[in-house]
Amino acid sequence: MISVLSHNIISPIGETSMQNYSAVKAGNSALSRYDGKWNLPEPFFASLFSDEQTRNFMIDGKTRFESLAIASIKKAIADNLVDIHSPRTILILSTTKGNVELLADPRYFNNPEGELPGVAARSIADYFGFVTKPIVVCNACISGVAALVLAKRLIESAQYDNAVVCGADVQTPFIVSGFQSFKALSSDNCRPFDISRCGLNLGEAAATIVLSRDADSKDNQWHIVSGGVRNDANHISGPSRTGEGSYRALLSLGAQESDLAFINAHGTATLYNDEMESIAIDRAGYHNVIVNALKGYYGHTMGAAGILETIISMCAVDDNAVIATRGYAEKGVSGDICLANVNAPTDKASFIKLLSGFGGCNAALWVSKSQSYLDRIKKTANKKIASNKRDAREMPERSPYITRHQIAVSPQGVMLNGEQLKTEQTGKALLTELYKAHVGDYPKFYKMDVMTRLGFIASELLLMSEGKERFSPCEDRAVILFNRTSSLIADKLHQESINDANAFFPSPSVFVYTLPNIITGEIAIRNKYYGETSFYILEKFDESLISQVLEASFEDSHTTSIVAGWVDCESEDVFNAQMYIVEKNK
Amino acid sequence: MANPELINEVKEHIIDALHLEDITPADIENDAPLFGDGLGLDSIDALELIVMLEKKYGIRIANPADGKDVFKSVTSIAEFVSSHKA
Repeated sequence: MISVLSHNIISPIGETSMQNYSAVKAGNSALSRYDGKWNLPEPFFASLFSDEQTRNFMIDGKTRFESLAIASIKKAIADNLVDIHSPRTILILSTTKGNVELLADPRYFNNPEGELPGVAARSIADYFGFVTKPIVVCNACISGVAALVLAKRLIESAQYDNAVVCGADVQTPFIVSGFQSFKALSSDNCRPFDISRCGLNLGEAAATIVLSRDADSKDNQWHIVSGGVRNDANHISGPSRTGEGSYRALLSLGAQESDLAFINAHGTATLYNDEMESIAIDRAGYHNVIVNALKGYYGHTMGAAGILETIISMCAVDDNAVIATRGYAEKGVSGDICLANVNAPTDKASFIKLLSGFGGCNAALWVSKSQSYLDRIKKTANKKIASNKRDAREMPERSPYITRHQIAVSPQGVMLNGEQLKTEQTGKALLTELYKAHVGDYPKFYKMDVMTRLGFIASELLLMSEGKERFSPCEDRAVILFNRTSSLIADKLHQESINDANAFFPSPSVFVYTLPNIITGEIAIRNKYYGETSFYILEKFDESLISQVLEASFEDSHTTSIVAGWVDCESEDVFNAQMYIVEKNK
Repeated sequence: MANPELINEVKEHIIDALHLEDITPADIENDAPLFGDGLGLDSIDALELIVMLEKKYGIRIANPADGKDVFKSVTSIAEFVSSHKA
């Protein structure tokens, strides 16, 4: 079983999990209106750290983002329950935009290594002395839950014993202007699931959960029971009208309605997200479970959200309480679900955390401290971990997966299953040449940024070479990609569009690609893959780390094959894709 | 009625803003619906047209719902631009 050993939240309303929970229970929030902040032309509502709070967590030589993450991790590991210096302990960092504010500094724009999330993760890991390589989960708004799911799987597959999972994001003109270009921000306090909701508020926070393998767990200890990531296969920014991915993610958990104190929804308070979630929860049959959302207290804390909201939910169940949805008054969604704007009592001991995000991704997590549940699964879980341990240690020669097809695309050309493809162009023009020669019927290609074009065209050629029937809906194939430079080209383009106050035109079609996981969504949409889509950022290419993550990804019993690999794009003329199809080795 | 020059200019701005590769102004009918089957545009394209109006003509649409009528066709966009210029 995967146990929660300790946790912490640092937000504008508290520096510990309990301070945060008490503030939330009392109905407090730091959301307020900002006029002219960062010279942005439009006002916005957000939950931001004060200057004094920021000074309190800043560390010499570290950025605002790194300092915040370090402050939260430091508090979460203060009890020394895990050995940070052990080769069996990993740091997993969940963030959507990390150090992106460095791009606004001309010193970094032409030398943006400091902006890269893998570099930030290394800086944080070095501060504490982790000896393993950190992994950054960059899966848009589901990153926090996706990071907990990854940690659980890495422990279950016996590759690590402990994981420190930290989610953090700080707000910047980069992010606020991007959401404003999407017309997604509310002009008032957000109102999740309410009839008059009109958009989200942004927030900043860091939250950390320390997970460990713990066969002899104590009473009242929290456990991650199950987690699933699924794609809508519908649109890169618009949620599915049928709640497809969230519905499937919920079903993947196997949670019974009678077990649940509540479902803590994403509840961003945008028209389409909340409607989608209500439909997904309705379809999954959870009509009588209270659905709540915490964005009215914190705003959308992005990479921190999944971890922060999981912690508040654990504190609430420990307190036998269901927290009210702040901002909610009158039901404004069509799904048959149960909503409340007052705190309520509960005697249940588990809950579901649900998230959804750009790129069509959705994630659900079932977290429990229920004794009856623990008794029920204890035997099975321990047997599974013991068996994985044996597999990992006694039979290292047996790979958990088989690689079927491979493609490498560089600015100079293409190698497909060991053979050079005949091409004439180089650089970005090569990608257009490949599209015209081999695809030609998908004009969305021209709307993609360079990195997404690279991953898309590599996946097209790879899947054609597989020779199977294409475009039939399926849930057993995942798309899991890695890189080093995140969404650097799109980041620079978006930054350029907001640098000059007299030519301030942030573009939604540029901003959307500042989330590198969009590429996994584009592949899922094209191929109707409802399975998992995940994007991870590493400090540098690392075959062994990639292999660890792919092996762990097969812990999702629905996944039988993965379109996987490395898709990295430093500039329009410096890129590298190495993709392959891996199948579960039965 | 919007003048043919403005109609053509709007078409060029649309093609440019929405990256409609291999499409020329002559391929877009003045009164055909922009959204739906025609050009295969989606919700991000609608938001991008709002940016285009602000960038090229200095016209702001604060509420995306207001764009629904404006972005019906090239003609409706051109008429909207003309009425704001007047």
